Amino acid sequence: MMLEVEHEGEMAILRFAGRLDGTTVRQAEERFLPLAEQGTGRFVFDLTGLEYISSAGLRFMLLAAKKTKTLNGRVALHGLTDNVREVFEISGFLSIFPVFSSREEALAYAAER
Amino acid sequence: MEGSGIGSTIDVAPDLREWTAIRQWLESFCLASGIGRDIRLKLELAAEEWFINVVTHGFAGKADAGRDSQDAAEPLVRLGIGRKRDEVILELVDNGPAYNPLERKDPDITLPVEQRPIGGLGIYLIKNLMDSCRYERLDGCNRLTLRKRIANKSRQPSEGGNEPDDAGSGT
Repeated sequence: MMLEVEHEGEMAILRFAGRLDGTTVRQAEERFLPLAEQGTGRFVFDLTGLEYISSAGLRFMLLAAKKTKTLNGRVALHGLTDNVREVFEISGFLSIFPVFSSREEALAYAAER
Repeated sequence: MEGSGIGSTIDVAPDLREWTAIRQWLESFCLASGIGRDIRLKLELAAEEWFINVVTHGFAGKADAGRDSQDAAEPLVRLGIGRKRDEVILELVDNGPAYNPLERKDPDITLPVEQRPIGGLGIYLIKNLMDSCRYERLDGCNRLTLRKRIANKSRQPSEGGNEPDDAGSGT
């Protein structure tokens, strides 16, 4: 898996590519948790390049949702591929995460006060 | 796996580092059997959820199980896959303690984020992504048989001629 972090103001944009599974999820946690601990509560997850997610990846997503909630922040997703969207849908995650079709909408939502 | 339509098997150690080998094995079977990306990703997901469960719970991380103790059987973690016409069969076998994952209670997917427990989605995903799942305890082994139908547009008997290039290759 590839994970790039970009900062825009007080927002962090995490760009995922490849596979978020039981063997790669720790990388995601290692990037995300320090940001949350420093108080970053506003995130955009760009999943355009994410081909595959398993329950280990969902576990990370839920952790991120819970963390940002306690920080009074927000996490917005965009760019879900068909396979990832299906896994989110089955798991009921489409009602947990605001999912947008464009990066701009996701950024605007995450920045909203 | 006799007579069950299984075309290829792989034995691995109960160690998460084996996941890459499993994934590569699945990918080559799918390529050779004309199984497309969408179905392949679902099969990979089912295999991963099962494998992680077996390694972390069934064998509780004991990659060396059986080496120290003379009584303990050598751990067996075996995956088999086959294609029968428009169906893929994935057979997942381990000799860990008897456990039927299909009896696990489904998670409540309607809970709000604060109340959603972390975890517990793996088996639920398998059940939802496969067309049928069957569990048996057989000869001291857990055996999970998963079936997934392949939409094969090229096989409609009423449609003569013009088949796409990848039509039911090599069966």
